[in-house]
Amino acid sequence: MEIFSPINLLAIFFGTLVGIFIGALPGLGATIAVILLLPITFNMPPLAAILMLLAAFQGAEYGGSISAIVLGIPGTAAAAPTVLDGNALAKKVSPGKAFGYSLSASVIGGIAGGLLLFTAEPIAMFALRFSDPEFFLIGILGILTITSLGSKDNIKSMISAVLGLMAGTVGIDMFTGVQRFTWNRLELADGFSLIALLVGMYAFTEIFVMISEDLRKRYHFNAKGLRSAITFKEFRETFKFTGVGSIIGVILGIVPGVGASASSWLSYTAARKMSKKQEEFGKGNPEGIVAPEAANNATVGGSLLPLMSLGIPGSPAMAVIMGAFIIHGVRPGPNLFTNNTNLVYGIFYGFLFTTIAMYLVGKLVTPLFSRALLVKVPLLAPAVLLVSIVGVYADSKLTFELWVALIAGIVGLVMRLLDFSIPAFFLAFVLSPILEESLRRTLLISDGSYAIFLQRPFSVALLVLIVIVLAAPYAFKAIKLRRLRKQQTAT
Amino acid sequence: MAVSYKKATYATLLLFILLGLGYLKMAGDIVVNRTDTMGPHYFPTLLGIALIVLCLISWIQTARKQEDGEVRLSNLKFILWSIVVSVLYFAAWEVFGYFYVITFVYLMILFMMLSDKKTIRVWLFNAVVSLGLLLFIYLIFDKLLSIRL
Repeated sequence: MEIFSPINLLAIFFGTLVGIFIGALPGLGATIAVILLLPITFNMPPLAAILMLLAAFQGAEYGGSISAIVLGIPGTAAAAPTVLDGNALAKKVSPGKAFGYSLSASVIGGIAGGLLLFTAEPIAMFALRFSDPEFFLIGILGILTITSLGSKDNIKSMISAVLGLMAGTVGIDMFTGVQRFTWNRLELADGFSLIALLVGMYAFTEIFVMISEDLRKRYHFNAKGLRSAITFKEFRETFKFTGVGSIIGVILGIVPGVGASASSWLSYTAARKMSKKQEEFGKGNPEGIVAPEAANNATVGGSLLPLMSLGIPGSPAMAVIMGAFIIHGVRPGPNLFTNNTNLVYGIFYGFLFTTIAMYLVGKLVTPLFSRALLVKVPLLAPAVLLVSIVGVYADSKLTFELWVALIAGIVGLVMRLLDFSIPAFFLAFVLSPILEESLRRTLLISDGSYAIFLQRPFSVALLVLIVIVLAAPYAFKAIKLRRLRKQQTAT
Repeated sequence: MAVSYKKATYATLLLFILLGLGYLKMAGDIVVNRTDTMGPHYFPTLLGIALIVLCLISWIQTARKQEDGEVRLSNLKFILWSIVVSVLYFAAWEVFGYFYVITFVYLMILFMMLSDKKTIRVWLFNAVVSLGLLLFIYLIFDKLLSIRL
C-alpha cells in the first residue's frame, strides 16, 4: 500500500518525465538522467528516492528512441539500432507510428525486467551462505566482467578500475580510524564524494564533448504526426520480437558491464535473423524497432537484480542508484532481504509501476519532447552544466566538491578520448570499501594466507568464473580469427 | 586539434605511473602498528603495484601496435575557456557568495561564448534564458528542497 502514497507516485511520475526528456537529448543518456536527479532524492524517503531514479532510468531508455526516430540520431547508445528502422518508418509512415512501436515494446521489456526481480530473493538467500572470501571474489568478478566484456581495451579498462579502487581508499580507514590520502583536508575525511565524481566524469565530460561538436548544427525534422499510436493488430504482429528482445535484455542486463547497448544490438540482430521479412530491415520494419527497444528496457530490471541480491551494480546507472541506497543508509546485497523486506518489495512492485508510468507519460509528452530536440548546443550545454554544478553543491554544501567535479571532468575527457573505461572506474570506486573490508577480514581469519580462497567450495567456483571471464575476450578473438581464416581459404 | 593516439597514451600512462609511485609512497607512510602487516597500508600497496604493472603492460601493448591513430578534439578553445570561466566562477562563489548574481554572469559568458551570433537580440534572449534557469533553480532547490545556495 506504501507504493500508492502520494510521494512515491509523484516520484515515479517526475522521474519518468525527467528520464524521457534527458534520454531524448542526444549524448546525455540514462546515467546522466539518474545523476541529475540524485541530489533531489537526499531529503526523500528511501523508497521514493530509489523509485524516482529507476523511473528516470526506464524513461531515459525509452526517451533515447525519440531522437533516434525523428532525427536519425540515437538519444542514448542503446537506441542506436532503433535509428535503422525507426527513422525509416518515421519517414515512410509517420514518427507517431514508430513511437507507438517503441513505447509498447519498451513497456513490455520493462515489465519483463520487473518480473525477473522476483527471483532476486532466492539468489540473495543463497548468497547469505557466502562470507568475506566470497564477497571479495564476487566484487573482483564484477570488476573483471566489466573490464573484459564491456570495453574496447581490456588493459586500459583494468587501469581505470584500479584508479577507481584507489579513489575509494581516500578517507578514514574503517578498521583503524587512520586518515589516508587526505592531505589533512577535512573535506576528504569521508573520501571523495560519489556525486562530485559522477557528475564530473559523466555530465562535465559529456558537456565538453558537446562543446567540441559543431555548435552551429541545427536539427530539422517534420513536426507532423508525432503522437504515438499503433493498433492492437500491429502490436500483436510484432509481439514475438518484443518477447525475444525482452528475454535477451533481461539476461544480458544481469551481467555487469554488458549493458543496454549490447543487448539492444544483439536483439536487433536476432530479430533480423528470425524475421520472414529480412529484406525490409533498415527500411522501416517494425520488428527492427520493437526488439531493441524491448531489450534496452528489459536491461534495467536485469541490471537491478545483481545490485539487490549481491550488491554488485549491473551498469553505471545502477552504480548511481547504489549510491542512493548508501546515502539513505541502506546497503544493497543479500542482507537487504532480511533487514529491509518492506523496502525491497516496495522496489519490486514500484518498478512495475514505473513501466506503467513510462507508458502514460510517454504517450503524453513524446510530441512535446520531440520539439525539445530543436534546442541548440550553445543553450543546452551551459544549462546542463549549471544544473550539474548545483547538484554537486546540493549534495555536500561544499564548494570543494565543485573543484573535485571539475578535475574529474577533465580526467574523464582524457579517459574517454583514449579508450579508458569510465564505467569500470565507477564500479570499482563503489565496490572499493566492500572489497577492502572483505579482503582484510578474510586475511585476518586466515592469518594472512591466501590459501583460504582455495579451501572453500564457493570461493573455488568463483575463481573458476574469474578465470573464464579473463579468458573470454581472448577466446572470442581466437574464434573470430579462425572464422576469418576459414572464409579466406573458402574464397 | 589532433594529436597522435600513441603519444597521448604514453603521456597519460606516464602520469598514471607517477601517480602510482606517489600513491605507493603515501601508502608506505601510513604506519599504525609496525607488527600489523595487513593494516591500512596493505590494500593501497596492492593497488599501487597493480597500477604500475598494468600501465607498463599497456605501454608495451601500445608500442607493439603497428598503426597509430589520431585523437581529435574540435573547438578546443571553447572547452578550455569553459574550464577557465568555471574556475573563476567557483572561486567567486567561494569568496563572495551571491550565488544568483555570479551565476547569471557565468551563464551569460558561456551563452555568448558559444553563440555564433553576438547581436543585441541574442544578448537579450540569452539574458531571458539565464533568468529562467535561475528561477527554475531557485524554485526547485531553494524553495522545494530547502537547499540554500
